[in-house]
Amino acid sequence: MKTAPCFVCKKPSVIHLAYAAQHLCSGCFIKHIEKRFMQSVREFRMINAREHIAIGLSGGKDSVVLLHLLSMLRKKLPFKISAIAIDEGIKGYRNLTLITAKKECKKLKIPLKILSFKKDLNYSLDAIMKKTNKAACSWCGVFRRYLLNLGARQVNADKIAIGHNLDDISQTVLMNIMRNEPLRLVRFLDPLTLNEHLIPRIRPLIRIPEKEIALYAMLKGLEIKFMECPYAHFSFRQHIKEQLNDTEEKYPGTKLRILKSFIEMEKLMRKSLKDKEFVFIPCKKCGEPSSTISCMKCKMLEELSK
Amino acid sequence: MKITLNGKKQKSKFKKGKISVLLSKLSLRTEEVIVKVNGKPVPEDTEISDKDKVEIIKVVFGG
Repeated sequence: MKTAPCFVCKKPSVIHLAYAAQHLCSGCFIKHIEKRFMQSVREFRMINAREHIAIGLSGGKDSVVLLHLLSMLRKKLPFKISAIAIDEGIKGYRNLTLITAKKECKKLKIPLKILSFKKDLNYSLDAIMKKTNKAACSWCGVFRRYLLNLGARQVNADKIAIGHNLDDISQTVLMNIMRNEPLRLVRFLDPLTLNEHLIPRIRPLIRIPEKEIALYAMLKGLEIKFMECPYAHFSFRQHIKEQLNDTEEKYPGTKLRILKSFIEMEKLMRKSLKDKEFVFIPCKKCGEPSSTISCMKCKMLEELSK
Repeated sequence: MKITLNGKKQKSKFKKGKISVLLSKLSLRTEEVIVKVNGKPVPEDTEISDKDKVEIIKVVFGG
């Protein structure tokens, strides 16, 4: 076996960052990831001293790595961490990743609150999929966002930290453009209107590619099961993901360029919207903030009850 | 060459060369896998031969 030396210290490399034309060894790669995480936290002023951050913890690699990075940051900056896990009710998948979530929280002494589709909304995702033909991600996205926000409110969190990585963000940008949903795009990083019932979200892994998060987890010895959601194959996101990974391989740096373009576009779009007013009204059924009379969660639950 | 793909052992006609070529022959995207050679993760431009123990792990999924 012949491996290229590390760009920094000349030890055998573990990864080639094609977008930066650099090979890195294990130690230098770990430093690189932690630096990227810190850069995003600082640049977007994600966390202030004494805040309470609730992590959306699925037990997958992204959220577990985020849990460890935030826990590490807590040694430098005093803030409180809680974890919120949502059990969508996907047999053979979520029950397994939740084992990791519980184990990691116990290891780091972080309190974990679990909410579930079945208990809190009356339907597991598996049961929903037996009832309808609509894509699983449509139901899951709306219900998971609702429960995560609810859980964060219940623990009195100031912010919700999400394990969205560079791949997730660049996919979301492309998906919103392809679906002609510019407003979704502009409110992606920051809400257009503040509402006391909606806990702001932060995404500290925004600059880290998904593969690098997996390698970081492996090198740090985190016990993570690399598993795929059984419903993922049917999603539009999966299609975009494959296209984007093919493009990144041919044209390294594509995902980072999409993120940079998005950050610039977002500033311009916000400027053009500064005189417009976006208001939330309480949903007539549940009282949660909504842009229409009934919120999406209530509309979907009504559809299921028919 | 004997390889392990997501925990399952299989044989490939690949004798020696860069890992990226092996991945391409297996229709795998470099962006979606981590390759361990002799138990250690390595970059995809690493040269390997059939003396090496190669393990490919898919780490990027949908959802």
